[in-house]
Amino acid sequence: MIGKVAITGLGYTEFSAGSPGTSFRELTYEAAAKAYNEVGIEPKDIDTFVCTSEDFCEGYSISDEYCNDQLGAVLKPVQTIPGDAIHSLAVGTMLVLTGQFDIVAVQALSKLSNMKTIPNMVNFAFDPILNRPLDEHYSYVSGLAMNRFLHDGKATREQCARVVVKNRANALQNPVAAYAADLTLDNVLDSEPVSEPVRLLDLAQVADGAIVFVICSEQTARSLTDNPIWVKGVGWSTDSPSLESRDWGNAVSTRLAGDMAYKMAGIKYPAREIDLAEVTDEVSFKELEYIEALRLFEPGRAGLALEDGRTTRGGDLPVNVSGGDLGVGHLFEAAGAQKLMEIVLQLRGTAGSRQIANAHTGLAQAWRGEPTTSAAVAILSNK
Amino acid sequence: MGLSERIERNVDLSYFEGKIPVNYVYTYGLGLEKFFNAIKEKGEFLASRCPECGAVYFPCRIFCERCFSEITRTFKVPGTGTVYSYTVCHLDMDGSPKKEPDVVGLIEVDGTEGAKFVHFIDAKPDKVTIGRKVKPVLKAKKDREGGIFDIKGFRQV
Repeated sequence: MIGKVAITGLGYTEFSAGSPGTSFRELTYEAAAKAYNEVGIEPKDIDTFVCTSEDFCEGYSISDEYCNDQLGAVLKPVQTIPGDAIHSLAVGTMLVLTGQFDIVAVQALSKLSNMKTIPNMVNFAFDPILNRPLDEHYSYVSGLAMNRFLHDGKATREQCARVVVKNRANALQNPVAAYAADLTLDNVLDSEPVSEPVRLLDLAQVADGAIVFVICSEQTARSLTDNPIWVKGVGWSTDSPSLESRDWGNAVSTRLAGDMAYKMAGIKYPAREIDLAEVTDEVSFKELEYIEALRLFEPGRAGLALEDGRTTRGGDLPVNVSGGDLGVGHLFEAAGAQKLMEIVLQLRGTAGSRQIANAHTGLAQAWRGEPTTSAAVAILSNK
Repeated sequence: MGLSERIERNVDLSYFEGKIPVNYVYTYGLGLEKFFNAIKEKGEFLASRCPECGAVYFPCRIFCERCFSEITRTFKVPGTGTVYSYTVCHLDMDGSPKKEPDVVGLIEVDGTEGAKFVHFIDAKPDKVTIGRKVKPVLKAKKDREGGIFDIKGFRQV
């Protein structure tokens, strides 16, 4: 990275299966007010704003026009990223690095409880000529990927179920998580079949919530806070959108996004240099696939590492200590923001009963969900 | 009501129910037009190979997504393939449960160096296995319309 950029302010709502008392604007307003208050700034001090939204998720077309008022950004420079919130962090970081913007707010929101027909909405993301006419629930893509993943011996069915048990138990220590639970392997393995081998409890359930970050240049960061969290590297990549020609089973886009972020951060040995990771576990097996793609574990070893407790809260490389998508809730384009938020809390040492000892460098990775192939990665550090 | 006093009972709250009609016409383009015409008229399956990097596409396309070259020629493949993966689907597109599950296959298409095709496999879920050879089942010629369902699905051989 050519200069230093820090996350200084963080504000967030709780995550919940519904937020009937609050509008989507009010969710963002709550997170923004908390983030700005944390570092003692007002919207007038913020030079530019980066929002994250997808029209169909928000329930508006041209939804970027509806992002600014709740951030205090009316008549200010605003832009919207229709991707994951980690893409937005990458854009915000670049804006600071231009030297033209000193303080940037980055926003992400999920108000999926407003959406009554989520499966239909996701199916609208499929190829309309080749794939959408099959009229199948979108999780069939995960079912195809997971079946091959198991067939290739990359992990066992029980190890995939263990991801669910671990992450939903992790969420018991996260006061803002929506889906904390004390489950057994059998609860997962015996849950309703959806797109076999994917079962109901293998899938993260949607949640509402908003997260806002304040990011700034080094000099400003040091004046605003005693505990800046540095953005050391960002990376992103997208494989072919076609189900027909994408690389099934290798998570190539996550591999490339991770390598890009590691290179920027000067990380040569991820498994040794990363203290904790928050990665997509929107479908149970994805966590195992992605931590290998990110070079945190040797190929074929992630399942064993899980069984050995290495990725639990007390392990040597905790993964999804927040509860992940499975425990916190599936936040669509805000998913990466929740992962970044957990890394920030951990690196600040303010993660409460789930605090990891001696955490200095953390990784956040997000996938945009079925049927996409987009991945984004950020490396954060408190040093 | 302050932000800290959220109401959690939907029925106590006001909301507006929104709904929009969204309708599109998706043009096939040169690649898919040729692909579906060959199935409709001749019962043939067309792939294309990038003249620069050799990448093979099924259905046929007019540009290479790997090296960005133009592709002008197509070639016939038998349409048969191998089950690369499959899934047993219990939910309809809208999330409602099906009476009988469908089997969706990810078929590795013969003669294409690994290109995949997604379609139904016509078999009981417990009879499908990864690695099995499959062949496409076409509609009768008079019933073909030039779309994905001119192929009814794949059958294990």
